[in-house]
Amino acid sequence: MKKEMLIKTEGTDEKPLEEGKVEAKEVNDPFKVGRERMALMGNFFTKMKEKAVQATNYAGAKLSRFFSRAKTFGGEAVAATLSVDVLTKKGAAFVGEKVVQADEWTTKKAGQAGEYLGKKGAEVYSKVEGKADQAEDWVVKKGEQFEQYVEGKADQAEDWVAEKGKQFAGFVGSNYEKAINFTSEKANQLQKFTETKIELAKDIAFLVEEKTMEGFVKAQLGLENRFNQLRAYSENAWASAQLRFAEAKKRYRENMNAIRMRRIQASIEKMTQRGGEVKPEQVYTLQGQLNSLMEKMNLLQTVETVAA
Amino acid sequence: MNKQEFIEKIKASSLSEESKGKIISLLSEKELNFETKEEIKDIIQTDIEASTQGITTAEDDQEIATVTTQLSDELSTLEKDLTQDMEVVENEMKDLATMASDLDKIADHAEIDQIKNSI
Repeated sequence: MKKEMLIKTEGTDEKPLEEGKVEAKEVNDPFKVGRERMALMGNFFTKMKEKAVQATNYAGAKLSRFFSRAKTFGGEAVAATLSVDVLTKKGAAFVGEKVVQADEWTTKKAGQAGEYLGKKGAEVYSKVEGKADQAEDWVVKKGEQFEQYVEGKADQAEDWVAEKGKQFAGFVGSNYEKAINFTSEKANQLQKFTETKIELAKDIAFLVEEKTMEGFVKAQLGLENRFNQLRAYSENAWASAQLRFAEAKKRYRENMNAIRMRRIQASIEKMTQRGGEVKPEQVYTLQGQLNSLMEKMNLLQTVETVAA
Repeated sequence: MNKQEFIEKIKASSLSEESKGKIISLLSEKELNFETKEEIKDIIQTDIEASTQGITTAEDDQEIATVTTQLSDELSTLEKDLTQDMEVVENEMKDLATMASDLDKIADHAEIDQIKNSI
C-alpha cells in the first residue's frame, strides 16, 4: 500500500487537506497498466537479442570453421583439380544444368523469402532464368584467364581465408544511426537477400561440379557478404525496434504528463474559485507541484539535446 | 547543452535526491548515447510518477485508457515485427551455415582429388 499527499479538489470524496498533514490512502494507479506493459519490453528485447546472438554465433562458428579449414586446405588443391578445357567446353549445357540445380536448391528458401515479401515464387525463379545467360558468359570468358588467375591467386587466397576466418564475430547490435532508415529499406534488403541467396546457391552448384580456384574464392566471398548482410539486418532490426519503443514511450509519457498537468491546473482553478475557504498555502503547494512537473517535463526534452 | 551543463541543471532541479544521484552516476560512468539517454528519461519519468501519485480523478480514466491502449497496440506491432525479422535472420543464418558445410564437403572432395593426383 502506497501513502501519499493527496490533492484536494471540490466534487471529490476527499477531505480538505490541513496544512502540513499527510493523509494515508491506498492509491488507485491508473498508469500501472502502461508502466507494466513498457516494463515487459525489457524482457522481450533481451529475448530477441539472445535469439540474434545465437543465430549469428551459430552461422559465424560454421563459417569460421570453414575458413579455417579452407586455409589448411589451401589454394593448391583447388588448382590441382582445375580443368579449364572441360569447363569451357561444357558451356551452355553445363550452365543450364547447374541453374536448374540451383533452382531446386533455392526453391524452398527463395520461395519463403519471396512469400515474406509478398512476391510470387515465379518472380524469383524468373530472375534465376535471367541469370543463366550471364553465368554462361562468365564461365566462357573467365575460362581463358583461369590458369593465369589461379597462379596469381592461390597464395593470396591462403592469406585471405586466414584473415577472414577471424572476422565472424557475433551480434553487435546498437548502431541506432544506421537503424533509423531500417523500416523504409527493409523491403529492399529482403529482396536483396533473395537475390544474393540464389547467386550463392549457383556459385556453390558450379563449385560442386568444377572445383576451380576462382569459384572457390567467389563462394567464400559470397558466404562472407551474406553473413555480414544478415548480421547487419538483425542488428538494424533490433536497434530500429528500440527506436520505435523509445518513440512510443515518448508519446505515451507526453500524453500522460499532459493529463497530470491538466489535473493540477484544474485543481488550482477550483481552489482559487473557492476563495477564502482555501488556505493560500494549499494553492502554493499545488502551484509548486505544477512547476515541478513542468520542469521535469522540460528535462525529458532536454536530455535528447545534450551533446555527448 | 553539454554534459556538464546538464548535470548542473539536474542538480538544481526539483527531482528527488535519489533520482539526481542515479542520473549523475549514469552521466559520470556511461557514454552519453541513445541507451543512456533512455535510462535517464526513465528515471525522470519514474520521479514524475512518484511525485504525482493519485493526482488524477475518474474524469481522466477514459483518456488514460485510450492512451494506454494506443501504447499497447504500438508495442504489440513492434513485437510482431521484430519477432518476424529475427525469424528471417535465424532461418537465413541456418541456411548460411548449411552452405558453409556444403563448401566444406567440396573442399574435402578437392583434397581427395589432390591425393589421387599425387598418387
